[in-house]
Amino acid sequence: MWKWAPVLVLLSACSQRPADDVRSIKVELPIEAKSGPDWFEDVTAASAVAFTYKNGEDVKPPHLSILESLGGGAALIDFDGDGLLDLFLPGGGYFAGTDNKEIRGHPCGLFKNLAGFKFHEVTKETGLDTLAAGQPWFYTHAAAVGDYDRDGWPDLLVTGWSRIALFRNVSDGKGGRRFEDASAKAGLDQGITWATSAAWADLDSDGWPDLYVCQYVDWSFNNHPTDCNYDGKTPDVCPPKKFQGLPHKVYRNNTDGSFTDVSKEAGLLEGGNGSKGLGVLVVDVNLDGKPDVYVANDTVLNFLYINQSTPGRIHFREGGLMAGVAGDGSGNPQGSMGLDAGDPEGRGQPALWVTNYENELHALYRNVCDKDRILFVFHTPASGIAAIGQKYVGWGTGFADFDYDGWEDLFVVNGHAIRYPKGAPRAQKPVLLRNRTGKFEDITRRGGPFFQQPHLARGAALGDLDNDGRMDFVVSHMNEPVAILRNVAPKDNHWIGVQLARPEKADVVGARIVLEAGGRKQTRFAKGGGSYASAPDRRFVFGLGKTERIDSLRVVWPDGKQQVWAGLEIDRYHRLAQKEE
Amino acid sequence: MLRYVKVAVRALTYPLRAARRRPLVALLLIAALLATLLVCSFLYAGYQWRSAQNALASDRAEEARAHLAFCLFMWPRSAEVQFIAGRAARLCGDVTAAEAHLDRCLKLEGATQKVQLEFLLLRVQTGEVDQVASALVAAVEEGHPESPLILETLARAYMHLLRYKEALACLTRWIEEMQAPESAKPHQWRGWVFERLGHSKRAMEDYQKALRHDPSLSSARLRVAEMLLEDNDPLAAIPHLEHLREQLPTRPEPMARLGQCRFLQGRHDEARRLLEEAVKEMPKDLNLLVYLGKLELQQDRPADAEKWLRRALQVDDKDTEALYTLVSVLQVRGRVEEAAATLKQYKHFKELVERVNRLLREESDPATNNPAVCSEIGILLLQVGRERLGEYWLGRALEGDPHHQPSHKALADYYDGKGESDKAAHHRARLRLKKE
Repeated sequence: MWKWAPVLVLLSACSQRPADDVRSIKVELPIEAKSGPDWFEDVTAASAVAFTYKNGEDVKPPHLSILESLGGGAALIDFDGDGLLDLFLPGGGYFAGTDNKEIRGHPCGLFKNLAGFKFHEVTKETGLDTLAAGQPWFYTHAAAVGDYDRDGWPDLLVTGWSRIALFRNVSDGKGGRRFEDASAKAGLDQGITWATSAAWADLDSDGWPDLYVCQYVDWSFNNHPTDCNYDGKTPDVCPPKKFQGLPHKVYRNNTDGSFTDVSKEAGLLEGGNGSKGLGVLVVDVNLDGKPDVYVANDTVLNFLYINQSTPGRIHFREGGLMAGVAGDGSGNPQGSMGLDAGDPEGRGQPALWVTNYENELHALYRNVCDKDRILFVFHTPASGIAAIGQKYVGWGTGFADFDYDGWEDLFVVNGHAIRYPKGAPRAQKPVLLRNRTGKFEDITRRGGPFFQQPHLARGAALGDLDNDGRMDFVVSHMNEPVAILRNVAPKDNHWIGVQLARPEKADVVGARIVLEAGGRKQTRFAKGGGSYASAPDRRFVFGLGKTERIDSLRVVWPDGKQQVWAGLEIDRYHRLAQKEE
Repeated sequence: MLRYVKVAVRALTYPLRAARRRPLVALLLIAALLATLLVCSFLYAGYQWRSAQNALASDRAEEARAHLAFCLFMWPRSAEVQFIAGRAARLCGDVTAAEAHLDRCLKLEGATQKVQLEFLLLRVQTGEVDQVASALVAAVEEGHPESPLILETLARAYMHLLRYKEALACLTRWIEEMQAPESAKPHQWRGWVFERLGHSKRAMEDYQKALRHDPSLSSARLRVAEMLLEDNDPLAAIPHLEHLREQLPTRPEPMARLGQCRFLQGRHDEARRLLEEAVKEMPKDLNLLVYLGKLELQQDRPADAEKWLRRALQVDDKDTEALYTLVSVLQVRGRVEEAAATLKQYKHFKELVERVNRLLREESDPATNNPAVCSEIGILLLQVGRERLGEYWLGRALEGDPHHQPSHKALADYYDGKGESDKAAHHRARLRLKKE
């Protein structure tokens, strides 16, 4: 309406509407009260992870800068290859100097997983206490995990104000691992104004992970309006509309440890008023084997970069608006932050999910791509999510089948972006949504004590921290300690976990896994990025309900080849390697 | 039959015959009857006077005028009655009558302060707000007992002239001046103004205050429900809509908005029932038609979705939401090129709407009254189909600069397009004049 004030797979799978049969089977679950055993237990205190992301807002007099509003994420990375996910946490920053206008960084933290939800800080031992040559950290936000040099060891990219840093995972010479700052060698130590989320994925099908980096807005102390308020009087953080967006970056992996900024050749849009990136997800939306890039922009239209790359040449066509995923159901841009892709209805195609600002519905887009058509339908109302309402500002998020009933659930962590919000509190409770055969219901009250308290949350990373097959998660807050939440949902359902591997340690993003069990098909998608500023577990877990055997598990690799496994044992993880030629 | 006629004639002529027999008694009776009639008339006029005053105090100016008609008949030389009749006429927008009553007042009791004030208020209402505002504001500052009325009149004029910031200042002052019991009206008006200024939260607060003062205010309640819907909060909107359905069982709007709530709740069957019922009464309601289109799209009926959306576009072919939804529908139907063309249209109009909104919000400051800005707003409004507003803004541009060429050209083209050749010729002549 006219408003005043303010408004695709190898196997030629793309040639057919995939997995129609999946929808035909409806599992009627018994109606269960929304009360019951908690799904999560806050194990932070016993974990020995005592870490707080700080945004520097305590400076006197306060700057109320937009820099302070973004917060940080969390990255799950098994850096030492012991089979347990370790935890990397960006530290944020503060303001110093005579006029408190020097932007500095707090050190990040790396915590080694000792099993049983016990961690030990190894930041200094692993060389992550400083940047190259002992330089102090910059003001950080996000972390992304990827094996850019294909040596089998996951590397780390950290983003933030004025720069990004690439840390290569190397031997410490004593049988352990450490990180070395490879930013300069990689050519990633310049050209950044303000980087937020980032994602690794092989975008040009050469097997080597390339890098997408979101940038936010052109704020600096030279462009720092101080006349913003939301109640007519109280000074507050200015909204993004006060600034110009920055162009995002895509870097092609040169395969020799260096990267080339190919943003322009790749067809990325310019900055201006249309590019204020906060979240990024790489997933193959049209099942053509080429991972596409979906970007959550703040207050302007989201991007869907359809991958049209050829080996060695990255190229995209932006088609978010035409595809129906750039804004809400009316095409209006939203304040988008976190995102993920999943298959909550069992359709075999990745639905896209975006968390948004208060009073803007979170967006669930049903994938109706078909042959050459890239199209999504705004599915939030029909999924039951609109009925829950949207009072909070949503950030980190993710699909995961927390109770292993075979349907992917959702969680969202929340926290206001401004300092003195009027309609909602600054600290906000997380939200837990249970998927009941494609329709969601709010079961936050079953989330456990953490879900009953308000938090000023930002990033969140999903992962199985104790390898019990149940997805736990880590939440990064602003000026409040990080939280580690253990999945303690009733263990009366079965599961199966999968880790993908390709020859010569090639990147797996763009692959998809189709599991057939109990008369249903479930599909998972190998993704890069996701959530907000965070890096989740890259393994795939399927809930099986009461089913005690799987019929088959088919992997469609990014190069179009398929492999089928049958009779895999349930209630454990499997490493599935692509058959070499 | 003849017998009955005779009886009737006898009955009717009985008083004459009786009077002939007893003339004195008859005279006394007639005098008593006339006296009674006179007393009753005065009593009735008094009743009408009180009713008129009550009606005026309750914002029912039309009703007040009806009551005053008899008072004016009874007391044509009463300055007070003429004054109140003038005010009632002004509030009804009948400027000629208002002026006539006030002129009569002048003749009856001279230029008293209250008559002068009423004349000033009348000038405000006829568009001369800038000429008299300073005098009226000064009166308010000095604590004039009629301050609320002055502020109400000024606010109304500014709202009519789309000068929202000044209207807001008047309404805020009016609310501050109000004494218990508070009135719902200034809050409702200020809510309306806040909406135009893009402050939806403050608008909502004012509407809710208005409802607290007067829970029967259905227009404010409907707007509250609609704003909650716009804020994607169907659960909060539903109680208001159900209240309205009880209050106004025959009105289709609450049903339509409740249908929209059910759609957002994913209760599609109920949404369909309500929306389809409402659209019979509101066949040109854009929101309703677009929601029906969305519902059909959700339920995999793209052909039906297209039908509803085409209907919406018949109502307003520039409606961006209808165009956007149609893009998806056309793609689902495999008409990719048509979808791309529709998307292009959508982008075009969306851009215009965003630009005009930005200009209205940020640059249409009445203090500057920049003809170029006013003209651009007017032209954009004409382009997005808001013709009345477009004409208004182009008119404002010409007030600032009577020779403003882009405004004359836009109006000439616009009137040509509407077939109003006289008006078009008037503006074309101005174009030529400038060239000469």
